Amino acid sequence: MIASSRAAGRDPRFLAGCLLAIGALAVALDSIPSLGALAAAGLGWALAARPGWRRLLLLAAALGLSVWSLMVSQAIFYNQLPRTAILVLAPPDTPVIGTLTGGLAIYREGIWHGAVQSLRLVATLSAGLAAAWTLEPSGLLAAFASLRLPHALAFCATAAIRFLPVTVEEAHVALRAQRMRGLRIGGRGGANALRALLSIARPVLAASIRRAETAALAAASRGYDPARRRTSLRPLRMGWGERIVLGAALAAALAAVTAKVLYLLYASGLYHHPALAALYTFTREAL
Amino acid sequence: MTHAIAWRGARFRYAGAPADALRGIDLAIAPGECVLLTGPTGCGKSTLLRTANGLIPRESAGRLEGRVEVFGQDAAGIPSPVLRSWVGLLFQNPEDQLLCGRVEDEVAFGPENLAEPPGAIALRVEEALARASASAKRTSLCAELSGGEKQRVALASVLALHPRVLALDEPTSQLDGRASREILRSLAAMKRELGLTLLIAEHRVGRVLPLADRLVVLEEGAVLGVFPRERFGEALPLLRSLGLEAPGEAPARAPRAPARAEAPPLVRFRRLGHRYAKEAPPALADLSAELAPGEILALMGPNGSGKSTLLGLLAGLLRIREGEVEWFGRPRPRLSLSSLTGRVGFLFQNPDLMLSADTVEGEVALGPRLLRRPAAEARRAVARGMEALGLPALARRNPFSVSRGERLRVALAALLACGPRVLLLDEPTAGLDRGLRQRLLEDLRRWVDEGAGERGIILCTHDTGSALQCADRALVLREGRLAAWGPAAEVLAGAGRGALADLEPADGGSGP
Repeated sequence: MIASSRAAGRDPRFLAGCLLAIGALAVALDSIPSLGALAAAGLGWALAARPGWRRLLLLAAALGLSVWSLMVSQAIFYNQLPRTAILVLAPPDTPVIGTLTGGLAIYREGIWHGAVQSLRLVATLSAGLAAAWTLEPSGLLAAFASLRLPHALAFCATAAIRFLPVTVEEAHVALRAQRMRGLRIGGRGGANALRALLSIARPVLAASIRRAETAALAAASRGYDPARRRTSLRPLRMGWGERIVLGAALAAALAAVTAKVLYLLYASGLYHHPALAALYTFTREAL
Repeated sequence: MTHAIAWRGARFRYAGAPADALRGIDLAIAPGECVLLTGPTGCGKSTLLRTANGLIPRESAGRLEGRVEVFGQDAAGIPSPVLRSWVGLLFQNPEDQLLCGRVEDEVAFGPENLAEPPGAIALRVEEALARASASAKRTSLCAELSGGEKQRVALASVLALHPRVLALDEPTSQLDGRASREILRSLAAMKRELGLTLLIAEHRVGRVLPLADRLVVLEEGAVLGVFPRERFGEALPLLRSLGLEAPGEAPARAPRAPARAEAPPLVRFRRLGHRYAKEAPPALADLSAELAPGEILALMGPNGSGKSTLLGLLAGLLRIREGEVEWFGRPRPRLSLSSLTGRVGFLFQNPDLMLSADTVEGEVALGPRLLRRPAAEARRAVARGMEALGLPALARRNPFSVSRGERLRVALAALLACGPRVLLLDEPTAGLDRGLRQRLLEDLRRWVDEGAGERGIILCTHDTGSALQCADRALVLREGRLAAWGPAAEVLAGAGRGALADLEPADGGSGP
């Protein structure tokens, strides 16, 4: 379900800019406190979108499963050195598992690394979902126009967002139709599942092509022409609040990326300037 | 006089098609006139409409010969945005033509394409929504609208272009009786108040005829007859000869074998209810009825009345939380999709989604193969299914390359080949012309009658004529509750009135 961004006074360019800033910060930051703050910002944005309980459940499930799998896999399979085992699960002399793996343990550095990756994921996933929940497809047309990007791309994106739920529903119907005729999905090492997938691909694809043709004709019959200038019912206007938030987010992202690049140049011995000593320390300890 | 639209020897052939879709059309429509175009499926109605606003030939591969004039000018020389703002085109299925998320954005889409300033767009949106009686839905999401509401929004989105001609391609085919009447009332008001020229393609003649000034009958791309209002009666023999619906004519009830009243019902449900969410109003409430062996039960009601929900519950597609369902005399508290496989066939509203094989014969054979029936038995079942639906001639064709009516028959034959005792059919007659509809209903009746009182069908339909023609009993729903239940002839005699006001009368005479 797509809520109105413009009805809530938000601009698609604001959403895209904020996503860009959060993505850049998630890559640039390494410290747990700063990534924790970024994850909190992403989660705060998702909650501010006022998701219903279904969406909250979806968010919780997506985050919970991702964080759990990242933490466990990194804690057990962390292979960088140094690493400190804090709990031995299977000593190296354990038959089969120990011999095959050289022993299994939970490593402190692995937990740390898993936490960093998890916080990055929480920040970007929450922000991405928040943007998707608050993006009005028709706002994309105006946003692309204001950014001087091709209309045709925006139209494709708009139509894809509009018809995605219809296509998902059709895939459900196609699968049910095959199951009622005796198709089995489970068992045989995934062969049945693959067969089920193939059996629904054709009707769903055919329906999508037919719908795409009708949608294109419907757009053309209402005067849509990707080569012509178009206007908008509500021209995009970013409010002062949005400008300030977006400016701050982009500035923070730019500053973090710059600091990180300078620090990496210093750490690898490629470039060093004594006047930047305080920045190096700050980047190492805080970012 | 300058005509609104005139076709002068118009001939069109789609690229790669073996024959012309339009064969020398000569027809002129006066400004402010309402012309009803009718003819059997594939007669060229939609193609003719698309030539009027330039979608043909500009957006369709093919060759147009002759001349199409719009308000005295050759359509070939009118720029696309101008032509499309003069002649608005409404497509058959509203679901596929709504492109934006929210209603007001959908209606604004056209004026935005015409590069109107924002203030003017807002005015057009307001006015178009009011004209289509859809103002209350201005901020709604398109996906949340009912079929009738979607069609109104689609109509508003065309009206926002300020067209001088409105071309409508089967505008009521997906709608129930009440929604159809509302759309037609809106069109009548626009014709009266704005002097709008209307060009309506529709095979349900009775619905639209009261609005029309002229009736044009097409067949195989050519005009067979043009009948002004005072000579509509003369068109009836022609309509009948083409297998089309003649207005005022109630369908004949087919003779049938009596249902086995003494045998236990094939399916029985008691106090059945369903909600899609805890806080949502009930989609179905306190519903009790049954399907007797040898019976066709018509399940009727307006869009959103709970018909598909009931079918979903009976087929195990939805979990039963309220009430009880018995299949073949056995209570089924935990009904699931797989527990009915092979004994109950479900025809979904869009049969295209049921097709997945390379050939028609392969499609029909798929069910018996998946059910692991012995080879000889499977062969017999496939042959019987193909024969019952008249498909042997199409056996080697790709199911997606045959006509819509034929695709429906392929999907049905594929179900029959699984050897079911009961068929649950969700709107199988929607969008079919009278000839195809009649043939399908006869096939269904025959299948039930040949089952020696062991078979039955629940037929979900909007079409009172179809129900009257083949059903033994009718169950009418309204807002998820029982509105009427009993012998079809008795129940449906009240269609269009009182508690059954949402249903269209059997003679189709439910114009604006």
